[in-house]
Amino acid sequence: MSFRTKLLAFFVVSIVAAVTLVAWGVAAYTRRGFEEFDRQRTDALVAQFRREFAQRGDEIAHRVQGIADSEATLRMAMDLTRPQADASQYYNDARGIAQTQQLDFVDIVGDDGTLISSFEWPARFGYKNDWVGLEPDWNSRGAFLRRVDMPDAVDLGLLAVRTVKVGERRLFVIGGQRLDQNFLGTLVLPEGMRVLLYRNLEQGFVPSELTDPRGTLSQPELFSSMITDVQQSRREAQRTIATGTPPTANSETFNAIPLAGRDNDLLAVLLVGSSRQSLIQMLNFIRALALLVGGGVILLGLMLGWWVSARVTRPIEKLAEGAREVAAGRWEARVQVRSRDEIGQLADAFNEMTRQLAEQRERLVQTERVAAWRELARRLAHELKNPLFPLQLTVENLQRARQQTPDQFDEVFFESTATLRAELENLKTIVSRFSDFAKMPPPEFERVDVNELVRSTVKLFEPQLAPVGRPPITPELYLDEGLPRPQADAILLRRALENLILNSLDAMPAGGTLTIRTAHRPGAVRLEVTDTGEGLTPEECARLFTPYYTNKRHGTGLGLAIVQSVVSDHNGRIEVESAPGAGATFRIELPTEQKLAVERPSSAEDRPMESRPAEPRLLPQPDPVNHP
Amino acid sequence: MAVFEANDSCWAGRPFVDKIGLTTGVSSDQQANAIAFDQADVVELPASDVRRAAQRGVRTASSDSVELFALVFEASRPAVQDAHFRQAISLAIDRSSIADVILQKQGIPAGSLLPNWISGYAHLFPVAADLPRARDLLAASARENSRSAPLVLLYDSGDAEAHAVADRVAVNLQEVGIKVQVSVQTANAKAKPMADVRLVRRRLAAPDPAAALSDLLDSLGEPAAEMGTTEQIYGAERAPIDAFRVIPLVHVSESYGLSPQVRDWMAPRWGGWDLADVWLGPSQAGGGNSP
Repeated sequence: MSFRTKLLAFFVVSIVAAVTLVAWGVAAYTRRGFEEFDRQRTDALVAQFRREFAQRGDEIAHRVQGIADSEATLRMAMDLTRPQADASQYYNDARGIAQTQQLDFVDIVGDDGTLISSFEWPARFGYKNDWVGLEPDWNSRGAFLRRVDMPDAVDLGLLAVRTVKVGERRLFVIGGQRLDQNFLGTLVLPEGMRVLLYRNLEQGFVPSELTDPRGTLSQPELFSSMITDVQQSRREAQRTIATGTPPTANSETFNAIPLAGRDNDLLAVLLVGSSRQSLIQMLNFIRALALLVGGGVILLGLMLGWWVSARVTRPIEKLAEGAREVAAGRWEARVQVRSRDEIGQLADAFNEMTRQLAEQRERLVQTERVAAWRELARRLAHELKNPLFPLQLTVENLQRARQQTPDQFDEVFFESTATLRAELENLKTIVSRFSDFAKMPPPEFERVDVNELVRSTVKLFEPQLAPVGRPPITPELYLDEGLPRPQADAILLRRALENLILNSLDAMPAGGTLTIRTAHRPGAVRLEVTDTGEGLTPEECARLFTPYYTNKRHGTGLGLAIVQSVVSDHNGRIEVESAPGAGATFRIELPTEQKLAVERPSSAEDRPMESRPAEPRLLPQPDPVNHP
Repeated sequence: MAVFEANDSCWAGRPFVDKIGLTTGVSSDQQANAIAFDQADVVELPASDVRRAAQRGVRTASSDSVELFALVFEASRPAVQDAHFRQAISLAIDRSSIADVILQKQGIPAGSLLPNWISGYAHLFPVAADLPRARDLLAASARENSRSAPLVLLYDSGDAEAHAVADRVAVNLQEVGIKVQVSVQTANAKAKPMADVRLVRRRLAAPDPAAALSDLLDSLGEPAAEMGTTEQIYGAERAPIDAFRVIPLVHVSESYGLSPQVRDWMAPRWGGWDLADVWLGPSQAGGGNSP
């Protein structure tokens, strides 16, 4: 993921998060405000309903009081105080009273609790209504809720009781209205409010006992849990119930008001509902507006973020491109940034850095070149100095024999010329070695059987492996018979292997084991040469492939340099793994296929960076502390 | 409802009734209003309204008991096959309350089919309720029969007094633990529930005991019997009552309301109208009656 993409993603996430947080906060605050308003409105409506309900109770009590205060009732009460009074003549009076007063329940009860006349159940005359005699002062009490037995059912009535007292005897007048859908229909309710009635006549929730003024309440089960809670707690409850179609279209806040009878038994639950439709519409509008505004802000933010991220990352991309060019060797690369901010300063610093790097590299090349020439001169001087000294002594010895012993001159001459010829041959060999290194031929690739090459090369070294007068060196070959035949130059490869074997033989003057392995790797062939010699220090490993570097007494320092040159020309790589006292392993990996023809540059300095020999890699040592 | 018109120039010296205008299909409430507002001369009064009409100042006239309220069990219904159960029902009913309160003392508690003024032996049939014994009989019956379904009691539609009596019977039976479903018997046979027991109201056919009983038993679905002697009549009446196939409740008289100008109205014991000596006095409202 590019920096611009990351920056854009950061902008997007930040903007979306910020807009979402603000929208959520505004929506939550607004919702809370509206719900508080709705709660206050609902409370006001419920209070208004309570007043209406209480007023209906007062009306009933007033009507019953009117019945009790009537002259007919007073005459009845006085008549019933007579001995042998005939109460049967008042059997039908309750009906007329109920029709006149528009009451659903009218009972006239004697002093002993005997029912004299009943409107709702006339046939019960003569039976006792004992409960009515338990209250000492009915006239000071208002209306109350009570179960009313009917011929074929049980009803709920909002009743009031008044007494007419004649002497010590009382006549009870009971009147009331049925608490049913008709009663609900007569209640004056504010707009947006409705009232439901649940008659709690049986245990648990009975859906058929829940009714509304129309008597056609749908989905009564919505109120099951609320009514069950009120049945258990006997306290008011408030709940919001989704009553719309679909449920999200509307909801109502219902206040459940438990209605208890005189014995504090729960007889009914009034559900006063206040519609939240206007609130829901308002909240939906606010939500839609918030989504619209939020979406617009997010879109605007995206566009702004894209523009800002492009503006910010463009100079950084230029810097990255410049760095890539420098990494590719184009030291003259420069970054053009016009801004004067930190990015501009960074670009200036980059340009200055590349300029200084180019200068330092040029100086380093010059220094290395001088050092290489000095090393070459030193090595040449050292190599040439050894045969020159015998040459000088031989010539001086020859001159001395000519002057002092002319008779023996011929003998000396022949000995001296032999010596001169030997030393000149030695000089020729030295010059030939340097010449060979300088004139490494380019490889000519062909399919090479590496295992066969290893076997034939080791065979050539059999005399050196078992020299007379020295401990023998045991060769061990572990050759992968399924090894593919890589494209390689057999002559150069043999030359590299010979140098590695020679290097190993030199490392084991006291004898040991020379192990050569071949193995197949994906797309490559591995060749390992391992000795059991004294091993190398990390510093020696680091300089091992440097030309003319040697830690041997008579070495030229060209053997491993030649090996590395051959491996590099084959587009392979070489590494050494060694530790003091643990021998050394030289590991070569050659690709099985050569994709490009390798043109050998005339000199190391003129080679492009890509085609230069791979730097030898020093593998990590088991314990660098113990083997510095 | 009848409106009389007199012949003011009658040769007998009094304005005897000369024309009678009859209006049928008038409800009892309308008849009560008509007599109260002097818009009719004679109206039929339900027994339950006689006292109230009298309290309002309406002249009333009543016959002896000529109608019978009784419960008749449907023999084919399994719920009422047990005689103990039927006896318990008979003992649970408070006939006095029906006669005195619902019928406003215009009825007489009945244990027999024929009233005493016709048969002379009606006092031999007990009428008193016995709730403890009714409960005992019901308990014995309940051990044999499980009656979870309510007893269906039918009464004739349009008869407010029958409705009131049926409701009272239901209350009495519920007191001893018998659930009763009171239903109205309509002309629509399909809508008629399967009755276990019916409340019937029968007018006696004649003041003669044999003729009245024979007609009554026939209308109640009881088999005909020999009624040559008083003993045979008594036995024939006793049989359905002792088997509790029929439970007499009350005997009811026939009552009329009379306007103030109706004079010399002689109420026959057997009910009906005897207009031979009836004449019309001057109207108290100043205007004459007109149909």
